[in-house]
Amino acid sequence: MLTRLIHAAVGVVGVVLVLLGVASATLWRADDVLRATATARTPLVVTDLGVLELGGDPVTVRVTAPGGAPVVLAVGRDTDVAGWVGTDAVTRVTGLSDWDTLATTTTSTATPTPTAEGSASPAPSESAEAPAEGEAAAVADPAGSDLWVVQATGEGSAELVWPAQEGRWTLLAAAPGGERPTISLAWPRVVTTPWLWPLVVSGAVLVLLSAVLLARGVARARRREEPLPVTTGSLPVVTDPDGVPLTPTRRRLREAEEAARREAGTRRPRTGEVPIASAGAVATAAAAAASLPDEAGPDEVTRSTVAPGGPVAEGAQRDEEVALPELAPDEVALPELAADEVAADEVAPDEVAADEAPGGVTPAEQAPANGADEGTTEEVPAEEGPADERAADQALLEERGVDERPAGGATTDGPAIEAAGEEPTEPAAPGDALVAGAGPADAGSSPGGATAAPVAAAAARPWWRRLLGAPAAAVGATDDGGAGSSGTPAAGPEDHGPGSSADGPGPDEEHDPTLLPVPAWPATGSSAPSTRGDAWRRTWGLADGSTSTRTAGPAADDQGDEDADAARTGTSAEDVAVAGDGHDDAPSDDATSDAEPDDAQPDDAQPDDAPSADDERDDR
Amino acid sequence: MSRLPARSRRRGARAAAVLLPGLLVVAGCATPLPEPVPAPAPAVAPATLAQTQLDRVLGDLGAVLADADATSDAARLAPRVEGPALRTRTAEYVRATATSGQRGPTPLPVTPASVLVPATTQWPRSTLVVTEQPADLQAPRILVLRQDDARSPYRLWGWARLLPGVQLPATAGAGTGVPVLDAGSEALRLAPEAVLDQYADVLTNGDASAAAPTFASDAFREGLVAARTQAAANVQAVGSVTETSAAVPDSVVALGTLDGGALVVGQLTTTTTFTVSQGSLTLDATDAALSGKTSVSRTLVYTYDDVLAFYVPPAGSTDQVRLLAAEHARVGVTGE
Repeated sequence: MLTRLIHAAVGVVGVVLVLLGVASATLWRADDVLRATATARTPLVVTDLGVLELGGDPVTVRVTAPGGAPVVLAVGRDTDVAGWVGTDAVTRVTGLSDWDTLATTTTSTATPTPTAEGSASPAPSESAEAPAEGEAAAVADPAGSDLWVVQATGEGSAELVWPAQEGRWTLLAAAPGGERPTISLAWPRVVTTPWLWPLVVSGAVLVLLSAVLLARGVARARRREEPLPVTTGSLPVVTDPDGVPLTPTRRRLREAEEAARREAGTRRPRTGEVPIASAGAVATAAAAAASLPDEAGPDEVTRSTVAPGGPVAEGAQRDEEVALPELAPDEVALPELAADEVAADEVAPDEVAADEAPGGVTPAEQAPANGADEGTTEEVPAEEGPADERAADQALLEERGVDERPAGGATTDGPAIEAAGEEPTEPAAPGDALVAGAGPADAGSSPGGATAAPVAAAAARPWWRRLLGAPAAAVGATDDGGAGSSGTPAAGPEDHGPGSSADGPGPDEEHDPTLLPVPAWPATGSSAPSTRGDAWRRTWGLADGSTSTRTAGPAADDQGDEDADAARTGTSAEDVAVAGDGHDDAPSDDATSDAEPDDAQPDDAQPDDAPSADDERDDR
Repeated sequence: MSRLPARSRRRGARAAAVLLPGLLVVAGCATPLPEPVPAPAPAVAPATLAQTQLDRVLGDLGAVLADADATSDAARLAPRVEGPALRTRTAEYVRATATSGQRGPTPLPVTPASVLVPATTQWPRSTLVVTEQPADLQAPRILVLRQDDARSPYRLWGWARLLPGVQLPATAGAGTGVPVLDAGSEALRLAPEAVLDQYADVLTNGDASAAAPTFASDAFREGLVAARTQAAANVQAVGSVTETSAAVPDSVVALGTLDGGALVVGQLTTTTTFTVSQGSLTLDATDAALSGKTSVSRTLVYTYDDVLAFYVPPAGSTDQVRLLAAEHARVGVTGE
């Protein structure tokens, strides 16, 4: 503000200068003609030497007499004029008293020598013989004298123009009739305006300077207000089977992060989910795992779908829907899978159980429905898991559900939740969402839901915890989605690998633990641009690989952390074991991922599960 | 905010520095009144008559002369003619009338061939104008224009006809004033007054005059002497003739020439006295008109106005004084 004021002040000063310059050339410009007038007190007027050349060249002399009396103007040599005048009373014009008046002196016959020069006020000592100035005394008529060089006569007024000449010349003006003539001398003046252009130019420069400064200030202010545009290239996005991008949930994000962390830290070959469940669950899981190899890809894809979804959603990319083309098969599978689940939406465990039953079959039925298997496997363990765990998980999920609702992935979670209808427990809803992934919307929602869980879970975790990664994941208790997120990230690389199955290439090569997972972009066009997190995750092999297993894991989490975790843990372990046969890395990744989500998600149960999962992993 | 005072001060200083020229503009507008600066007085007075003035004067003179000559009215000569010129002209008008225009007045051209304008600030002042030859190719005239005082016009005071074979001395060019010498100037071989006096003596006495060697012989003197002799011979049976000349005082005008000499113009009055011892003299028409008598029985006096122009060499020169121009005009006849 002060700078603006200063800039404006500069402009004002410039304008003032311009005005002053213009005024100096117009208002205050001296006149072109200097005209001075005086009225004589005698009929004869004589100018002093030099007066005719006073103001310029030439001089225009004008004499007027009242009453139209004849007047004579004559110019002659000073001696001639003086000789002619002789001793007569005469008014001498001695110069300028001001710019408009001639200075005159009156001499009388008694005092031929001029009195002190001064203004027009006469200061002569008049003699008695000198006629009173008021009287009209006849005066010799100078007209026609041979003495004059130039002469002008007239009735009432006469005008004479005398160019400056060499020599001493004086003017004689006479009113022979005795009147007092009024004489005026006019000279042309050379008027210069030296201040005009310097002031105008300097003022204009200041005004321009001020304008430039002000404009620059305004532009700067505007620029500051405009947000810097940030452009990002197209990024792969996780999409549900319909191509609707999935909104990554916090759980997914968290899982992805944890998976990545774990992978980086552990450098263990990725395995599928490590189911931490009872024997029954293991058996079921094994059965399900049997179909895993085929579906590893889709599972991983799914997982990858989920994984990036979770953390990504957390990452303020809620607006973007995570859509992984890999989900397509999963989604296809899921819808089929969740068809039953949709029907039984309120009870996640029940649905899970129901799903589990056909789960093992369904996955087998659907080769590409890897994710479904995953989900199934997860569901199975979840279902098989102790009810307490489920309850605990549900409780946790409730919490998470609260988190998940406002969390990202609302688009998917919302519909997922709605699709699931009201859920007795929130965890059920996300779980339903996962299960309900069978439906097109559900399919999208399930992964979304799956993502939502981990996302929510991730959101529940403090950011520093999330950054810390493994310890946080290990704590697990803090985040419900810890397990899920850890599982998710763990599955990430797996997802890449298996995810690539969706793309086409087998996940095997990608899941080489020694190799950094090759980012497997969504193969099909159905893949909508994922979030930045997805891309990152995919780049680092966190998202794709664990898709298949991921879905199972997060799905399991969403359904019911307790159930899912327990079942998953066990199932995942089995799956991992099975998967591990086919895929070195994937199973490990899956296992790791599975183990982690299992560990993290149910805060209560996690710690217990974690070690078990780890043990299982270690065993493997 | 702590910066504001310094900023304000700087702004104030800058504003003042910027506005100061503006104020100076306003102040500078008050230019001082111009003062008259008289031209320095010249070392030598300028010519009294500028060319325009001279032309105007001569024009006026010519107009007056022409007017008067046409009507043979001497009264019309008054504005521009005076002195010997007036008397001469008047007599010439009488002669013209008496002779019925056979002998008209002396033609006087007014076109100047050279002018001698005095450089003086005093009055009276005289200007010598050497005219061109008249139409009948008579000798050029030297006109003497005299301004008696400041309020008087220039009048023709007299004229003289150049003697044949005379070369005028070089004088200052036109536009430049010719120095005026006093009547008693010592810068000449003879003071102007003395020149006239001595010449008058020479005219009267002839070679017997002491001043005879001073003057070169000239045609005027010879003619004058011859005329006198002639007149004496004519009147010898009846009477005798005597002739005297006398200079008119205060009529001398001396204008310097470039060589330091001077051109001296003056007037002489010559009186020719006829003494009739017996019988009478019959006057011719002109004389009868001038005198009012047709014959005289005892004396007859002719009065002549002689306007003479000499060239006087500067002092120390041994050159003789030369008569350049002369006019011998009968201006009066008396007798009884």
